[in-house]
Amino acid sequence: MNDRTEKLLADLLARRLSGASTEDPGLPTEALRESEALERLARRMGQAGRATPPAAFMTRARGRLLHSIELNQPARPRPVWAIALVSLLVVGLAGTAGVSYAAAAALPGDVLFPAKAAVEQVALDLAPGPSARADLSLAITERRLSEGEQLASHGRWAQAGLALEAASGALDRSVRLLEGVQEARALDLLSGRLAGLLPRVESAVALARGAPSPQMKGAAEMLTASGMRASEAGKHLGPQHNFDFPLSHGNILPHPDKPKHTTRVEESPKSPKERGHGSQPTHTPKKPTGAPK
Amino acid sequence: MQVLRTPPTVLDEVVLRRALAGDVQAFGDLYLACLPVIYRYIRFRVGDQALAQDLAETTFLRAWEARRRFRPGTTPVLGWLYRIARNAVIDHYRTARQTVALDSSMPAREVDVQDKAEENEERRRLAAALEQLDDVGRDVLTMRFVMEMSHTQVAAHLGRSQESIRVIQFRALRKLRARLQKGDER
Repeated sequence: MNDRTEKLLADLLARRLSGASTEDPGLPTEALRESEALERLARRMGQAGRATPPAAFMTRARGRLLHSIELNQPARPRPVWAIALVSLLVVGLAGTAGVSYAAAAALPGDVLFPAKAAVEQVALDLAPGPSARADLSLAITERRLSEGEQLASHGRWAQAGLALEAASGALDRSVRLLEGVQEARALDLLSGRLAGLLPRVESAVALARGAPSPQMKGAAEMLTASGMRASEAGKHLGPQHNFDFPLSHGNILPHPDKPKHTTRVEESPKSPKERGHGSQPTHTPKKPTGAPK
Repeated sequence: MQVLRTPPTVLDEVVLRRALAGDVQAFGDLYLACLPVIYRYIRFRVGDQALAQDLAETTFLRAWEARRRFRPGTTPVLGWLYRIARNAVIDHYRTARQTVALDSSMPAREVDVQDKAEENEERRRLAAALEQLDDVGRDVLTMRFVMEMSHTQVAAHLGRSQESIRVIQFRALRKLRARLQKGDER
């Protein structure tokens, strides 16, 4: 077979396999018969290779892989400052209730907040299993959201932005931990909690978008992305729960429930009132500014 | 005439970059996007469903570990994953001291036995004959007909022109057919 004939047959075969119409290239009958035989062989291969991963495998595949990655990650050495702070809080100042309380009540951006975050991290590391870890991570996510809302209500925009950025990270971590939960009942309960958290995330996004602060707008985007990832993952983890995000046809709208605050917030000397920015922002801005990207 | 389907290989560049930078969530997205195609290849090679699932997971765990060595500009991600999957299958057989596909999966119902056995035998024969081809011929046929990639995609993955891929495809199919005929004569 010469090069020209080979090329003509190769092109003819490629067109046939692609489903394109074929003209008779004026080749010998024997060559055309061979081309047909090769086409049948290619289709046999396609038929033999046709396999899709089982639905049950696909549903849990992502979680299983991420769990395996997490198990295989080398343990991160705890920063010295974190150990020092935790030791200080747990041992040295165990009897000093005022300082412990102050650390527990610290908000993102406060001097004692790193101590609070370190204690949370230690608690996560010490959690007795994947379910307990995911449960705690969800609680931390809720805490960061509350703190962000609380700080924003006092016009402490930069700190509020930090809190919501931390909430975004905590939400991502919660999803990752949830994907590692193997026990069906625990997974159901935790995915229900995650679903319940999404309206709060949506509310926080609306709040951040309406805030006169670039840091808050940045936090809004981060939180939106995390919310959408959680929504996507949640649909596989707990299809029985409602994981729509955002709920309102592509718009981030404020959640109707006003968040409850449990931690006292000090008034900022630069609250919007004092700076002459008019009324204080509410948790539910009246005009949400755009759809998530 | 039935048209060979092409796989959904469109993957967000941002997700890919983040996955390669060590973002676990993004890597999970990459996994879900590429899993069906990689699974199809592994299943074709090993036959057994459970084993294919294990090896698919192994493939992506290895990819996670090797992510820093991957250069997005040089090879498309699916081609990189295909190489890792192929090595995972080879390692499996090397470890298990097996030379051809292992078919440990048995159908649950008696009525399926005959069909299943024929399917497995067909797949095993094709996979064994394919492995005897030269590297480029084997890769082109695998990507085209098992992984269901288009000529354009295969050309991009192997760094060759589409015309060259069409000729390689033709030659490799001829060789494969000859191998199978030779096998039948024995």
